[in-house]
Amino acid sequence: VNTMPPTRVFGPIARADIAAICQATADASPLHLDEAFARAAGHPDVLVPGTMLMGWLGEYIADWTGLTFGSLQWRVKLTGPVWPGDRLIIEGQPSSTGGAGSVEVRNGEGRIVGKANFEVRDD
Amino acid sequence: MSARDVTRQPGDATAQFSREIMRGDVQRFVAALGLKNPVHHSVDAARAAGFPDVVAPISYVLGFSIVPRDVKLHHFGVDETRAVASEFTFDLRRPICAGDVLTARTILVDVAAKATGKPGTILSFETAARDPDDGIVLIARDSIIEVGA
Repeated sequence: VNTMPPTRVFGPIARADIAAICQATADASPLHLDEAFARAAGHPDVLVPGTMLMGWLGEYIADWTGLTFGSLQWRVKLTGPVWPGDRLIIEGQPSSTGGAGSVEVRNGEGRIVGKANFEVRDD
Repeated sequence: MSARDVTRQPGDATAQFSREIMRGDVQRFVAALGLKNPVHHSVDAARAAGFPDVVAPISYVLGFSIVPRDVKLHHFGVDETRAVASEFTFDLRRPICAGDVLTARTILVDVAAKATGKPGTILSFETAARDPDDGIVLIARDSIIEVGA
């Protein structure tokens, strides 16, 4: 955890992948799947489910720490919308105290669309 | 039940749901994200690593995959067109694998007016997933911002 992790890029996000994620997680929200519905709700396109961003964050943190399965506590804040076709750049920073870290997710325009903090549980 | 019938009292909860973690769903989720760790998509690799079946990524096992999202939104009177997911916290107590049967209900823990930016309401939820022995496997907390409320 105390080493600097590499930056990783995920995407571009395909509509077919959004559909697969929604099917796998039983998320039938038309905001993710129905472009006309999303536009009528004021969005320029369908919204990419936060689950996708969190899936990549999870792998990033797991690769970094080597601790995936039951010994991590993490908090994710989605700070901006993600659209089909976006690439996401994930970059982490270890904490100065050790045993914890923070991660930022930016889109291709450099805007922060998600932030995460995690710590390794002792138990 | 219309949105106007919902009182939104903290402590109010959805009905309880049970769901089996399905190997095919985990593999579909992992394939769509391009996740590389073989314990997520290969039964052989998972078993070689000491797991009974493929391991679900943490993000797969969100509260709303046990309690259906539309049930949750309807129960708490959240308008889908104005709802934006905001913040998630996961406390995972043990690995979750295909074949696990998890039971959960979602509880409304807080309702607050949005403090900055455009007006809105922040609804905070907690979903504790339990296994058949009643042990807590995962506590997931999430917030939904209902804009313009």
